[in-house]
Amino acid sequence: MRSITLAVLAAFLTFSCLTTAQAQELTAKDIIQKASDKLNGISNKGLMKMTVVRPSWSREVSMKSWSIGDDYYMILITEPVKDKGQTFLKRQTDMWNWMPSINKMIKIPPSMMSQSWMGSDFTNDDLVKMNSYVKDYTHKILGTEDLQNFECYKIELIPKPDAPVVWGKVLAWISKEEFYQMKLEFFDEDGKLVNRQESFDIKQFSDRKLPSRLVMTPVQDEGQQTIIEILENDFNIDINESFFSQQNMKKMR
Amino acid sequence: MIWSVAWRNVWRNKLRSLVVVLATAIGLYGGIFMISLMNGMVQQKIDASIDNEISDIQIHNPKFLEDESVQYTINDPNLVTKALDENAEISVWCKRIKATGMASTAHSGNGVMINGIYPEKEIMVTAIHNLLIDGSYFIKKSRIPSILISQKLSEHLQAEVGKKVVLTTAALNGETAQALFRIEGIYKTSNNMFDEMNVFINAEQLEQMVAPGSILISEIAIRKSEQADLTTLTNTLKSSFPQLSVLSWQELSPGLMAMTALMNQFGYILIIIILLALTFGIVNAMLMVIMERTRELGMLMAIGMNKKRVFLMIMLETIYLSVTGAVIGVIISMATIALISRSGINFAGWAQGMESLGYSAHIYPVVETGFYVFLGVMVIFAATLASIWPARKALKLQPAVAVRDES
Repeated sequence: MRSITLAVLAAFLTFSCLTTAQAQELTAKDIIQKASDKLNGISNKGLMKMTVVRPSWSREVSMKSWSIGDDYYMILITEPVKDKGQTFLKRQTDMWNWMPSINKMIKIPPSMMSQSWMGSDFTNDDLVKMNSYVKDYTHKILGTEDLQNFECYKIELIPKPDAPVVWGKVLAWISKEEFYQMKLEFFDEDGKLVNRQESFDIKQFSDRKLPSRLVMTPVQDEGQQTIIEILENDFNIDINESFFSQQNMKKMR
Repeated sequence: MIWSVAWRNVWRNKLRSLVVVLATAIGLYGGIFMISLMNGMVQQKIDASIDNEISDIQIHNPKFLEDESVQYTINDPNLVTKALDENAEISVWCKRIKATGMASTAHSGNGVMINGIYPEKEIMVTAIHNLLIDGSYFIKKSRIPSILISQKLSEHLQAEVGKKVVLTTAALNGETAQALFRIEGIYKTSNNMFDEMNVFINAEQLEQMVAPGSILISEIAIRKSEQADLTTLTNTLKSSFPQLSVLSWQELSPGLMAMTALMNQFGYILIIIILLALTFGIVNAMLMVIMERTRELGMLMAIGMNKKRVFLMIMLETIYLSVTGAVIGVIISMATIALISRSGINFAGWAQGMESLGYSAHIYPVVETGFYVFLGVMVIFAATLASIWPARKALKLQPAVAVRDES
């Protein structure tokens, strides 16, 4: 009698294991969701270096950053001296800039969102990221590809017909393990490649591994590139939403 | 008698007189034509600004003019629109909602003024629908709303008709609003600055982004009827709506007014300088005349022609000379301007530079009638001035010496 119960139980367990395994067959949407949620709600403090490369010159900007997921950002420029002390604050879809040299706080209006951020290939809009890769697109797995020794899902994202998205198509390479966004390619409506964003050098930062180098290449403009390197990163630090305030912006060192 | 004698004297030395007459004519012709071009340029800019951009009169919430924020709307729009409909001096008006924002495509983004319009009324007030270089003007009824952008902006955004444009603006509640549009048409005015800044969408679409469910009016643009006087109408409207800012195009765009005044002054100064230079030429010619005719003048005086008549004769000769030149100059100018103002002159080679300053490169020259009156007065004045010296010189001749002059 008892053995029967055990056998039934065992059979049931096996079966349920099988169904879980089947459930783990991820849809394209799940993969994108997991990749976007990777840092969701996780507080983070870091040191970064941004290099803006142009055909005839390049410049380096060092900064400190604090963030909670993608929703709250505070970035303090520490170098070069000219821009030192400039602070950027992002709360959800709003962005402010504090310029100590002229003692002025600017709320970046929508009309300035297209301007380049600190002279780089990122725009203010890229930082605010109004669009959601999960919500505004339909997703399709095109296959798997190896990138920098990572097995990646190659996923095609097509904007929903009335989503306010400028791209015609986005291709994303997401690693199977850990769901790193290894590469993103942005296409216009004619299928012409516009921007390429790549991640390199996965490194250990406190309790987790992350790509430490992000390279943004505007493909149409030869010799242009922006590289962001993460030098230090601490996770789950003791800050909350109220840290990201205009008062705090002026106090950051 | 003395009049016809003077006229005949002018033509005694045909070559010299002709040279002076032609110099005067060509000098004035150059000046007048130059001025007609400048006038035409400024006039066209003003007409184009009124037709495409500012209309005759605009009404706003006074605060809107300070920071062009979408929250400063016209309160009680129905009261205002009713009064406008009843005013016989107003030929047509339209309302708009305006918000600053960003237009972006995959390639680029640009800060813009988003004009939410009611196309069926807008076409009666502005001429943008006549200035399309591609596509159509709000006739498509597709699921994705239409946007009209300028050629300049379409180059910058690298987007043609049919392509996507995302507009971002601040909603009334302070949040950022985004919406997707497709380019339905591309327009081009002669003012690059206007073109770069302005995009047009349906008013409902902009309201949808800024404050769903409400009707907002940021601006009312008015075209006056043909016979109405701009200043009077503006003042009437000002007193009807004391809480609103009612401004005529002259007040809205003082730069345009200043430009007209400046061009006028420039024209007058140019003509004065040309006439001054011509005066010296005429003086020179007349001094020659006196020298050549010393004997004759001495004889006239000796047989009893009094000093007043001698003076008058020389003076008349000078005036005939310059006025003949001036009349010929004006006739050629008028003919040329009348001929050219039909087709205009196209300075296509300089189009880019001129259009970046807001001027059309295709110029239709014009000269106001008032200018010819001024010119006539100035020519007589200059001629009289030029005649004083030679006439005085003639007076100073001693008849006894002069008749013996051997030259």
